[in-house]
Amino acid sequence: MTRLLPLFALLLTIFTLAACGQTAPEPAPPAPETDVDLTAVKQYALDHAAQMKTGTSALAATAQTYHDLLAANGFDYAAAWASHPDELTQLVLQARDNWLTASNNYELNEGIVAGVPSLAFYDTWIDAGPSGAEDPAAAYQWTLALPNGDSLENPGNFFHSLLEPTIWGTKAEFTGLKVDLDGDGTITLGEALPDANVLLAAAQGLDQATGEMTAAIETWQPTVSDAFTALVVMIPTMNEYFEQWKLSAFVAGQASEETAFIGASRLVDIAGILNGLDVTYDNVGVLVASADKNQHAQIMDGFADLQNYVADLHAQEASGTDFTSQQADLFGTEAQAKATALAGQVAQVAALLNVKIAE
Amino acid sequence: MMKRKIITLVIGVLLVMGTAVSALAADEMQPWQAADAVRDALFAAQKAVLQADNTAALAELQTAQAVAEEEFAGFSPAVQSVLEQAFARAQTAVTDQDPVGVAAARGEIMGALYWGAYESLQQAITTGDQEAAQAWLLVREFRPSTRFSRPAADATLALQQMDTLAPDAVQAQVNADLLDTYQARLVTSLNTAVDAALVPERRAEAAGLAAALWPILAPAYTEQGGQEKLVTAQLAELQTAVLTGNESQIAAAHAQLLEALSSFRAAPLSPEEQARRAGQLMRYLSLVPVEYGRGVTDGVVMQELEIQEAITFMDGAQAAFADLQPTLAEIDAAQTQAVAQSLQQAAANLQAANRQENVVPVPQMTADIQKTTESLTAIVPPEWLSQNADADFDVLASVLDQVETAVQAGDYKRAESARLEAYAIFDVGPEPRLLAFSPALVAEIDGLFWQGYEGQDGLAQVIALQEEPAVVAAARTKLDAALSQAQLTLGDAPSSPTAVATNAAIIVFREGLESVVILAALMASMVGAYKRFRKPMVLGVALSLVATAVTFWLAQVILTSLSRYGERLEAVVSLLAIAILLLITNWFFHKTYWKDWMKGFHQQKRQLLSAETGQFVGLVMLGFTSMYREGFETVLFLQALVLDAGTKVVLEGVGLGLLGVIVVGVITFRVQQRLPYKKMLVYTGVLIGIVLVTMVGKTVHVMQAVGWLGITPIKGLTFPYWAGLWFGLYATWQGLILQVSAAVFVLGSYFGAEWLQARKRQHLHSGQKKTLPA
Repeated sequence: MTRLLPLFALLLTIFTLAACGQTAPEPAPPAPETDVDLTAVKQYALDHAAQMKTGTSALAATAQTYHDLLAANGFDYAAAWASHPDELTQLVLQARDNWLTASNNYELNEGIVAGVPSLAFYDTWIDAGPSGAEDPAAAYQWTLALPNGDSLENPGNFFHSLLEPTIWGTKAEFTGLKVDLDGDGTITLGEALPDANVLLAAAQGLDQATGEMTAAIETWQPTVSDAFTALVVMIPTMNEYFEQWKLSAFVAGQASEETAFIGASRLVDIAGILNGLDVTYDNVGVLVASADKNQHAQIMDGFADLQNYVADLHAQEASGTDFTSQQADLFGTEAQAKATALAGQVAQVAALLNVKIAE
Repeated sequence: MMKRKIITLVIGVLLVMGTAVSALAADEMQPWQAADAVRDALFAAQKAVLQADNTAALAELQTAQAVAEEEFAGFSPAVQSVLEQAFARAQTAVTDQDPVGVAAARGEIMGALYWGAYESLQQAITTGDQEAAQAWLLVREFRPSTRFSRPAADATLALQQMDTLAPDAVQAQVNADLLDTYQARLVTSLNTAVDAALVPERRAEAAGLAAALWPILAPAYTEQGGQEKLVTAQLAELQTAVLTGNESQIAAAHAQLLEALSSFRAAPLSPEEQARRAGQLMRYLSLVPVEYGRGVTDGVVMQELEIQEAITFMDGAQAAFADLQPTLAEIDAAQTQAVAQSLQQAAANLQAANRQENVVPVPQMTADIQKTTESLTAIVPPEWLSQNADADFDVLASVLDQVETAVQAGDYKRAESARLEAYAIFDVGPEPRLLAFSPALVAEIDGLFWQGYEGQDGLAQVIALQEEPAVVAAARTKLDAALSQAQLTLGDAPSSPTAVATNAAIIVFREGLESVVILAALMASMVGAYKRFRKPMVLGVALSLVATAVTFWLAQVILTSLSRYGERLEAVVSLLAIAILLLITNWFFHKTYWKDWMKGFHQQKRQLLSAETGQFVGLVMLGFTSMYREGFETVLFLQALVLDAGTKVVLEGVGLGLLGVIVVGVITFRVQQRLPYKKMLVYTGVLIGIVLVTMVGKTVHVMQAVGWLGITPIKGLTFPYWAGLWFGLYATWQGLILQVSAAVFVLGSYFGAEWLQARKRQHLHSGQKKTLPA
C-alpha cells in the first residue's frame, strides 16, 4: 500500500495542476441587469391574456352554435338564411363582438408578446404571421384541420388571416354567402355569412392558442433585457401598421381590397401596442432616470406624445372623419418619425445601462 | 432694531430672488423640448393647410417661428439665415395654400435645427461642458432599426465619459455616430425625393431636409477631396425640381447626387470597425455556397428555405462590402468595382433561383464566390483579415436566427444543420482564443450549444427533442447571454506577452497530459523482455512531434483553410488513435494472444509482414497517434494566440508547457518502475482503460459536431461541464453506448485473456498428467 502512495500522490498532483489551468482569468463582469421589479409587466400581460381568453372561449361557443345551425340545414347557406335570418344575423354579430373582445385585449398585450423573444412566436401564430400564399418563406408551417375533413395548409395567423376575413366575409373561400345583414336593402363590404367549418376550426384553434400563450406568459420571467428589446423592436413598427391603416377600409372605404383590418381600425391595434409598451417603460423608467434624467424625460414625453397622437386620430376616425390617402400618408410619416426617434432614444439608454437588446 | 429690519429685508429679497430664479429655471425649455415644439407646430400648420384652414396654419407657423427665434438664438449666423429664409417660404406657401411648399419648408427648418444642434454640441465638447453637450445631443435623428443593425449609441456613451476622455476622442466618437446617421438620412431623403409613387408633400419635405442636413457633412466631404459647392448646387436643383414636379429633372439631380456621394464616407470606420466589417464580409460570403448547395440539387431548387438563407447571407455580405467600398476603392478602384459587380451578379443569381428561374448550378455558384473571395483577399489589407471575434459573433447571431426561423417553420432538420454551422463558426473562430482566457465560459457555451449546462437546456437537445419554438427561443436566449459574455471577455482579453505565454503553456500542458498518461504507463510496463518495444513508441512520439511542428508551420501559411477543416481532421485522427489504442490495449493484457493471433494470421495468409513487424508498426502508430491527436488540437488553439501576440511569445509558452509535460512523464515513468510488476500492470491497465473511455467520449462529441454521427439526447440526464471536459461524458445515447462498449471490450478482452490462459494451463496440466509414468 505504501508503494502505491507515490502513484496516488502523482495522480493527484497531475489533476490538481491541470485543474488549476482551468482557473484562467475570470471573464469580464456580466452586463449589469440592475435590480428592477417587472412583476407588474407580467401581471399586465396575464390580465389581458385572461380577458382575451373570455373572448376566444365565447367565440368558440358562438362558432359551435353557428356550425350546428348550418349543419342542421345541410350547409345550404341560402336555405339557412331564408329560414333563420334573425338567428344567423345575431350569431354573426355576436361573433364579431367576441372577436373584438379577443383582438382588443390581444392588442393591449401585443407590444409585450411580440417584442419579448421568448413569447414572440405567439404573435406570429395568433396575430402577425403571413400565410403560405402571401409569403412562403416566412410563413409558419402549420395545418388547420376543419371539421368536414378538409385542411388549410400554412393558413397564416388566427386573427387576420383566418377569423377576420371569415367573420366579415372579405375572403371568398371563407365565406358561405353574402347577405344583407343590416336589412337596408344592399349588401356592402363586411356583410356575409361565414363559412361554418372555417369559423369553427379557427375559433377553437385560437382558443387553444390563447391558452398556450397564457401558459407561456405564466412561466415567463421578465428581464430588463426583455423589456428593452420589446421597446426597441416594437416601437419602430408603426410605419407598417400605418401603411395597413391607410389601405384598410377605414381609409379607403369601400374601395379597400384588404381582407384584414375591417373589423377594427389598425389604430386600435397601434393604441393597444403603445399601451403595453408604455406599461413596460413605466416599470424600467426608474432605471433610466438614474442613468440620464433628461433622456428619461424625453422618452416619457415621447410616449405620451405618440399615444395622444394616435388617440386623437382614432377619435377623429370614430367621429366619422374621412381621411384622404394624402392625409393618411402625412399622419403615417409623422408617426413613423416619432416612433423612430423614440426607439433611438430607448436604444441610447439601453446602451447607458449596458442592457443587451436581443436580436 | 434697525439692524434687525435690514437683515430681515435682505433675507426676504434673497428668498424672492431665489424663487424667481427657480421659477425661471423651471420654465426654461430644454433644447429637445424646443425642437419638438417647433416640429409639432409645423406639423399642425401642414395639417391646417391640407384642411384649407389658412388662419390656423399661419398661427401655428408663427408659434414655431417664435420658439425657434427664442430658444435657438445662439445658433450660428449661417443656420439662422437658413431658418429665416425657410420660415419666410413657409409663410408664402401657407398664403398660397400650397401644402407642398409648406412641407418643403418644414424639411428645411428641421434640418437646420439639427445642424444648429450639431454645432452647439461640438462647441460644448470643445469647452468641456458635459451638461450642455448632453442637452444638445438630444436634438438629433437616428438610423431606423434593421435586421442587421440597431441605432448606435457611440455619441451618448462618449459624452458619458467626457470627464475621462480627451475632447478629440469624444469628438471622434460623436462624429462616428452622428455623421454616419446624417449621411444615411441624407441618402434616404434623396431616395424619398425621387420616388414618384409617394405623395408630393413627402418628397418635398425630404428634399428640403436633405439640403439642410448637407452643411453638417460638407466639411468631411471637402476634407476627402469632394466639391462641396457642386453638391450644394445639385441639392438646390433637386428641391426646385420637386417643387415644380419636373420628374426628369428630379431623376437627373438624384443620379448626379448619388454619383457625387458614392465614395464618400462622412464618418470613416475605425480600424477595428473595418476589420469587423471585413470579417463579416468573408464569413457571410463563405456561407452563401454552403446554403445554396443545400438548396439546389441537379440544377433544381429542392429547398427554398436554403435559398432564402443564402440570400440573407448575401445581403449581409453586401452590406458589409458597402461600408468598406470607399476605402477599398482607394486601394484598387478597378478591382473594387469588379468585386462589386461580381457580388451583384451573385445576388441576382440567388434571386433568380429564388424565383425558380434560371437556377445556376452549384459548382458555378461556388466557383463564382471563390473567385470573388480571392479578389477580395488580394485587395483587402492583411490586418483586416486577421480573425475578428466581433465579426464572428455578428455572423453567429445571424446563423442562430436561422435556427429559430427553421424551428418556427417546423423544419428541425434544417435547424440542426444551422446549429452545427453556428457551432462551427464558434469552434474555429472565438473559441480557441476564449479557451486561453476563460475555459469555464467555453465549457458553458459548449454546454448551451449541445446538451445543456447546469440545469439549462442545450440547443442541440431541444432541437433533437423537437421542442416548441418558445422553448428553443429560450435556450437560444441563454446561449446569447453567454456569447455576449464571451464577446466582452475577448474584447477585454489581456494581450500582454506574459499572459499569452502562460496561456499557451497551460494549453500545451493540459492537452499533453492525456498522451503522457498513455505513453508513460505503457512504456513503464515495458521491462525485461519487452524493453525492446520502447523504441518504436519513442519513434512514434518523435514523428508526431515533427508532424505537429509541420502542422504549426502549415497553419501560419494556410490559416483559414486549416481551421475550416480542423474538426474533421481531429475526428479522423481521434478515430485512428482509438483504434490503435484498442488493439494495443488488447495486446497489453494478453501478449501471448497477440503473438498467437499474428502467428496464425501469418500461417493462414502467408503475409509478407512478420508478427514482429506488425507489433513494431502498431507501437509506432500508437506513439504517433496518441501524441499527434493532442498536438493537432493544440496547434488549432494556439493559432488564436499567435494572432494575438506573435509566434515568438507563443513558442515560449509552448516550451514551458512541454517542459511540464516531460517532467510529469518522467515522474510517472519512474514511480511506476518502482511498483511491483503485477500490481503496476493492473493499475496501469485501469488508467489506460479510463483514458480510452474518455477518448471515445470526446471523439464521439467531435464526430457529432461535424455531423458524422447523430445526436440523440438522453432526456432528463445532464452532466456537469467538467464531466465532459475531463471524462468525455456527454448526455447522448451515442456517446454513452460507445463508451460503455469500449469499457466492455477492454474488460472483456482482459477476462477473455484470463480465461484463455486458464484453459492453456489446464491443457498443460492434463498433458503433463498423461506423460507421468504409471
